[in-house]
Amino acid sequence: MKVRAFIKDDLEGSFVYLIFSKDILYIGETQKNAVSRWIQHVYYKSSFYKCVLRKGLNFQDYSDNVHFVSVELTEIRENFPENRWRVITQAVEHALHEILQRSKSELLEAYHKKYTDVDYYRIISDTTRTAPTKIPNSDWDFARNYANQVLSDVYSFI
Amino acid sequence: MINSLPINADRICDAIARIGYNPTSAIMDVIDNSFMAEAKKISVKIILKEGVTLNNPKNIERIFIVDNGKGMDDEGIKKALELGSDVQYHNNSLSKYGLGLKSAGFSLGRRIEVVSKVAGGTISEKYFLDRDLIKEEGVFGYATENASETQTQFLDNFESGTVISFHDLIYTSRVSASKLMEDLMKKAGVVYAEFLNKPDVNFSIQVFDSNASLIKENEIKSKDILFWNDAYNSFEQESYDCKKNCRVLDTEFENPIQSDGEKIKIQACIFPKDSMKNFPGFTEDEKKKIKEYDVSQVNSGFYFYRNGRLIKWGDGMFLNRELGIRIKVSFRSEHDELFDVDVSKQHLTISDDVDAILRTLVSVPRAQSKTVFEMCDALVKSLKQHETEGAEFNSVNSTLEEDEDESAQIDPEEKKKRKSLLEDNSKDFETQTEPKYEDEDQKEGFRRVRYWEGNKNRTFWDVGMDSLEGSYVLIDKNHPFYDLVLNNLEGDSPLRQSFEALLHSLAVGQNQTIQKFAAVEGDVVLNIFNKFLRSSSLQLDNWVNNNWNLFNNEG
Repeated sequence: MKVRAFIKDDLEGSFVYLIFSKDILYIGETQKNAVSRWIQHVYYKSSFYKCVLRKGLNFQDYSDNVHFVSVELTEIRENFPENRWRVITQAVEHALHEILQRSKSELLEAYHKKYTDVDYYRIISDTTRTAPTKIPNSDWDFARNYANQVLSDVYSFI
Repeated sequence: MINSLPINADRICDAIARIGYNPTSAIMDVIDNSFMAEAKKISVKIILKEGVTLNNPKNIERIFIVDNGKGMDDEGIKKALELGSDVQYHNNSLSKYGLGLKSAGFSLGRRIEVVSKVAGGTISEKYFLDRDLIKEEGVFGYATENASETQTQFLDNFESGTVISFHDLIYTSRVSASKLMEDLMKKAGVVYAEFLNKPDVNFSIQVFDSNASLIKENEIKSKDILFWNDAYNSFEQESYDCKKNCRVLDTEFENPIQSDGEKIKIQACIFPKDSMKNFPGFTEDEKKKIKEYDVSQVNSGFYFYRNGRLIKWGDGMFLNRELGIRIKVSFRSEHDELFDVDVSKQHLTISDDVDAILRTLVSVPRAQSKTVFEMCDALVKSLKQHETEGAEFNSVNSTLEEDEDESAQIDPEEKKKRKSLLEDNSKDFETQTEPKYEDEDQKEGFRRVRYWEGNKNRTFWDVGMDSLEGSYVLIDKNHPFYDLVLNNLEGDSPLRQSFEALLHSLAVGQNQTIQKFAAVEGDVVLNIFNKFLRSSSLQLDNWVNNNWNLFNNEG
């Protein structure tokens, strides 16, 4: 017997999560504790599953060796009113895409070198349709700075 | 060991001439060599045929490109004339395949001539490639002659330099000297913006008649298609005034297949709508600036610069008719694998990796560009409405009398006092709420009906009193009844004017009652009317909420 997961926190929260599998990376957001339902984010009918298929890849090739990292964005819940939690989380999700599209080397060093034998990855998720369109620059500044912190913490964690 | 096969030299020349050049792109491909030779003075000299005007189609006899670059010795010239010249290009050269001079040259004419001089040397012979000779002899190769007087003169004043010329011109379109000049003027400043920014660089276009007399000359200046230095630092929706462009992206990204190399730079600006160049609310200077932006389909999209030289002008890629955004992507020779540039240096094919990066990075700027266009539309609409709403009623009723109810007699002094109360009330009322309709000075005639957005009392209409002209009504454009009903009626429609007449009559009635209802104190009557206005406006609001579908509005 071994304990594989343990969650005692509130399920409510703003989260971003990263799904790693071989040379692909999926980044998503949710307003429920991502870890509590992590399997739903990875398996059939999930956005991850659809994205893998959309890229013309075989899901079986990517469903076995998956790493799932979830980050709770507590500062969003603390600093923004409830009606903005979702949109700011989506801004952070988009900012993560921006940062990781601009530069892949840090994540390659932190994750892929350690856990895989690939020296390249591609992001299969897409936020060009879901990124907020009407938020002020100050919110984008927050989201981009915050996304950098998120990645820095993820690199340390993995 | 391979066995050589014959090559049809003439057909090869024909093929390389037809890889997609137009006269402007062909000339610019040759000018790349001048910049690579570190020339400070470059001129394109267009010689007209005899007896033609600047605008006659197919009026060009010869074209010379003259520069004061490093020049070439005889071996250098021969190398330059080879097909696929095996030249060692230095880092970040504009050259790529060693075909440019030949393919661009043969797209312009059947004969290419080169005369050059290196520092401390003498002017070379004229080396030339001639399609007729090549065809006749069945071999690709050059011939030489003494340089002409014109070619020698061009180089006389330079310590070193090169003259390239194109003869027996081929016309695949009705191009004229003036059209070619205009096209070069429009594009070359953008294509070579980085080079033309260097100190002491001079690039001109000259047109000569058949007697070698200069008839027109223009200098090409560096032009930044993003207007980066003039732009607002960022797009701030709350304060944006639709007058200038905004910087919305300024970053760089790694080469996705070679992360330790030089990064690729990306910048973007978003622009106000082109129609704002005629916006009456802007100054002449502001309108002139917007005109300079030339916001249009052809100028929007991605501008790809390779080693500082523009390869692709306004590529729409995945953008959908998004006229207000310009994105500049600057890469170097080491990124050639990601941006597959063709021989004519006009087209490139972008790798999937770069495509994905660009889509992500311009996602927010695209949305901001859309917002800018929406804001421009709203500004135009609002001015139009403030300027014209109510104009039809006011024009038709410019001398409308306010018939007074004579049944009730009132002391003239008391009447005067009450009139003054109304005027004071109007004054406070207007200054406090800062109505947005145009200044009184700008209007023609007295406006009995006015539309505004400054009503803090939340009443659909309010009543004013002008000391000379009498009563006027202010209709609140923020009230739902305006949105649902009045806004759907054309200004000159009978129904719209009937509504306006009704509201104006209520205003007259209110002012006269306050002035003449002597049984009650004036300020009390005024308060009663204010309460009445609020109550009736609230009721109208209720009615709108229950009848929203009446005019087939959504939601």
